[in-house]
Amino acid sequence: MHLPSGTVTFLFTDIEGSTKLARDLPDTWETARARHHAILRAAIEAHHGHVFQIIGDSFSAAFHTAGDAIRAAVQVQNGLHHEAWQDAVIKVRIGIHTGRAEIQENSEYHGYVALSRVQRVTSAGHGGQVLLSLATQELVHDELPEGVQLRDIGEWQLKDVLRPMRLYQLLIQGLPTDFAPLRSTPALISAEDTTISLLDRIVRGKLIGRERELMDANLCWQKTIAGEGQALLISGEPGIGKTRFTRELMGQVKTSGATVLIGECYAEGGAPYAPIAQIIQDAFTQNPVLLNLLPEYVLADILTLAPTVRARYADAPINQPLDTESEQERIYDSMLELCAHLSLRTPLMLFLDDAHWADPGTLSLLRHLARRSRSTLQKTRPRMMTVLTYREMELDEARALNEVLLDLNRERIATRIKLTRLNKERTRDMLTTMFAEVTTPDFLDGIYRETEGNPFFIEEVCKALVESGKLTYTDGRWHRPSMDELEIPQSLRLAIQTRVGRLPPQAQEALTLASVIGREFDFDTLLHSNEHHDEDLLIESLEAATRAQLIEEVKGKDGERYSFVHALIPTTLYEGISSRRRKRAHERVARAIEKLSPNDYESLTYHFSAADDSMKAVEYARKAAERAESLYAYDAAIQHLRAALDFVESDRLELRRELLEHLADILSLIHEGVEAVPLYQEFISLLGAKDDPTNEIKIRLHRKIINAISRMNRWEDIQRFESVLKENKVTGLNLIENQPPHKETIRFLTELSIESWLHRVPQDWDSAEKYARRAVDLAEQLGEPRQLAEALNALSNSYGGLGLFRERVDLELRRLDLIRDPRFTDINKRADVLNQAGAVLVYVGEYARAMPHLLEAEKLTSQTRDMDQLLGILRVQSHCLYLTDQWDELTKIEAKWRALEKQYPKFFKLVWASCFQVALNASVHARRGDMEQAEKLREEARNLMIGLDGTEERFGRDNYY
Amino acid sequence: MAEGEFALVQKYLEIALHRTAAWVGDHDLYAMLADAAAQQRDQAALQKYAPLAEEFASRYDHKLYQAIAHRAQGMAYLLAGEFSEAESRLNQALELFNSLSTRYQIGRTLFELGEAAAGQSNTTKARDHFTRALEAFEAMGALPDAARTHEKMAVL
Repeated sequence: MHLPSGTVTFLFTDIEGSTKLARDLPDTWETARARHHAILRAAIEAHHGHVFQIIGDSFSAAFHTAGDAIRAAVQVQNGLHHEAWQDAVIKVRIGIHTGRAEIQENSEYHGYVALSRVQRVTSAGHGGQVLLSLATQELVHDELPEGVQLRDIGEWQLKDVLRPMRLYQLLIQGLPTDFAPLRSTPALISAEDTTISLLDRIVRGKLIGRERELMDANLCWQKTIAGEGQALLISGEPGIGKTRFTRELMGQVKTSGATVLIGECYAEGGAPYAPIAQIIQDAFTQNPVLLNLLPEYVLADILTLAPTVRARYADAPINQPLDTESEQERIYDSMLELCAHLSLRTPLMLFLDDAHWADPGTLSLLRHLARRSRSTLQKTRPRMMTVLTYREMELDEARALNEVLLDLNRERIATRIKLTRLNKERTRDMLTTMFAEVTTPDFLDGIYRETEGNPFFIEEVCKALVESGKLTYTDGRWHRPSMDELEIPQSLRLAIQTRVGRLPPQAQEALTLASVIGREFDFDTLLHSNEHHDEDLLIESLEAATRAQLIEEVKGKDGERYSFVHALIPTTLYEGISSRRRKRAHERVARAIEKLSPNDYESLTYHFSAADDSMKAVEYARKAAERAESLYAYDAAIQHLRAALDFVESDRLELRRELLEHLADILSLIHEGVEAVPLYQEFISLLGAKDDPTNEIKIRLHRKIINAISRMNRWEDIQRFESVLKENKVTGLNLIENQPPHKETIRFLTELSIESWLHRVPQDWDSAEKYARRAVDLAEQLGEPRQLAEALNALSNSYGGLGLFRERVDLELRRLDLIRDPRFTDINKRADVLNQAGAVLVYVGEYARAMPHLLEAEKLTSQTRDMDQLLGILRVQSHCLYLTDQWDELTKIEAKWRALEKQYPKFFKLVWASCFQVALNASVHARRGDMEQAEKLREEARNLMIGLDGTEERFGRDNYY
Repeated sequence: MAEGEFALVQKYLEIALHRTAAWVGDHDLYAMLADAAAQQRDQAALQKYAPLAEEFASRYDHKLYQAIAHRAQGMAYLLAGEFSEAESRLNQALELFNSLSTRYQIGRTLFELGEAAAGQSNTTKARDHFTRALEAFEAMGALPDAARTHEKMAVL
């Protein structure tokens, strides 16, 4: 295929309402769709066009000449119009634009500006309509095919396109020529044009008075381009124009060819990492070939974060699970790798809107990306700028955001831009731009007095005045009564209420119900939540609200989705609903979501909670918590479980106990034992004698309390809980003395063994051995291989503490035999035991016996991709080889970690491991007489170690090399 | 590692003795301290660390460290002019290194045996040890040690 290059005319198509058609007419849709494809392909190919991409049902074609593209468009619309469709009538919108584009080596087009413009032109049209840009019009206006004319439909401010674009509509004889106004904003409306509503005459979306801030933001972007990752924090009060400002910046960076990915956060919350999932989805939509370009393990992790994208790729790989910390680290690094990949050719901008509503997981991941894109230790830093917008007044509530902001500021990674209100002069500029005429001083005074320069307030006030008929447009100019009669709404809320109040009653009702769903909502949920359930009526309502510029259709997402144009609109509407009505509305919404999206646990929790349906709220909160936990989003899981506990009725003891234990387990896992212990204690207090006849549950909880305390992060907390620890040990020991042994007895004793040395000063190795020995004996007696393996591990640790290294070897080899049993399916655990067996053999100088275990561990760890583990294994191997004078083999290990360094573009632990390797290599070079290289490597190792540890004083026992 | 830096190594190892770590034991540290002292030919340090290295290596039946400790003890005798004890210890070390096939360590031990023989004016024996040490060093590509051995052989 010979794709056109240089000056290319692009023709893009899009089926109007395809999702709805597919959903409503499942039986005939596929046939209709196939016919659509055939008609389009035939028309394009008949006129020498090349289809270079089909995403969903949208075709992207390239032509050598604009005339061919026009003829193809005419044939397409004729073909579709005259097709004998059964019930699924397909109408496509077509956009044509001519611009510069070059073919790259991978046969993709490089020419972002041209491609994005044709995309925007296409999106602005309606089914059956063909739109042309001025560039194409100039090429074809003298050679239009017979029966075809052009209509100048004026200048339009297309989404994300910096300057307004003049557009033309193709008028094809015999086909419809009249369509609704374009799905965009007119840039400037001619006085003669009476088809445009008054609201559309107001020129919106122009950024006023932010030149200095934009310059600062551009400076950050320039640094990003130069390879220094940036984090840009844009704050300000609601309505100040944070999103608008960022969109202006996005428009500018997109024009320079950069990739921009957007994640949005909503007051009503969402699934953990939902904004990240949106960013990933955006990345895959913009660049579908990513699937083939990313390493498999990266893809697997990324798709874990974006389940909706995974659903599209049934064969996508899945990574082996690791321990919590390693798994989260690997997923974060995979995301970093995705960013590095996306920024290879052009820099990348990640935009998180309304970050004050972001979930902790999303913020933590973005902090990781911001840090790593700045870190000088990072080998391949993504050229990336992370932009966060947030409301300062929400920071007290947004604990997670607050922490991230403090971190970013402390580490001097972030640049902060605070948007303030417009002064009077800037308010005048804004009004002048909006009305495209000079603003009178009294009108300016009135508007400024009420709005105090808040841009969104200014805009809403003006719209309210237009809609109320106070501002009128005749004879090419705006008219208004005297200021006394004007009655400017005195608050933003009032302005919004006034505007919504102008809509037909059913539209008001629909919008109010939509505000219960949230800032963004989909048609179906709204329809099913609506008592009347009248589809036509709802469509009319939404069209009215769209015309009133209160909502807008969201493109590029699954289904028919809408968004309020500003977060303050749904907030205002929601606050205006009485609590009784709110509950009912939430219940209707919840039932609709339950029917349409039964896996949307987070929304279901939110709505059933707000509807006071405690049973359902608890049910879905638990499911949401489980999902959050599976994504390592522990803060979100904790939040859901706390909510569930608040809702569970006091008489549902068993459920309450389950929730308490689940919550405490998560808190303990993240070393928040201080919070976990009282929950376990509450659980015990709720246990009746009948509930736990063998005391198995109590013993388990005593063990968990001991575990939670001994793993607390702060020494003072451990001391504070010392008496609780002792009490639980004594009680637990009494319980096991009086009961026949079971699995929990072994676990309890194993825990006591670990507690005897972990964080104890001095460590009580004798007790550690005593408890572990008892645990081993019991496990043998009960024939419990898993518990035996754990108990042996505890005993091995105690032997290590007692200096019984030879005896330790025997234990580890025994453990190794146990985990070779096919019932132990956990590869990571197996690798861990192999590594430990190798390490203890090295400890006593049994190098030849150690190596096979270490090599096997390495092989298994390569499958699980546990970097921590792998680096540990390589380190022990290096040690072995160095001490046995196998210098050539040692250099092979160097090659391995250098390969890892390339594969994982990161990361402190790798630096640490490489430091050890560099030091050993330095020694080998010295022994071989290459003193210059030895000196260089030695210095490198020393600097790496000091760089990691901070001071030379810490260059101690661990770092003897 | 440059010869002059063994003092630095010793300093760090002595700091390390006062720290705890899971994977570096006292037997590791004493073996390295004894070996660093041997490389510096520091008689006082050898007398201080070699017995401790030996004790810890024996406790765990750690063959490599036992060999290192024997060699350090042998060198302490060597520096004190007690050649017969020195040779006995060095031979014990050599036997262990041979069993472990650690060729560079074998070369270093043979070199010290050559020194012991030379100290007793037994040039034939010394030449034999030095020649075998040289073979080991050359096989390993250990050029500075090979050069040092050549120098010793030249003055025999």
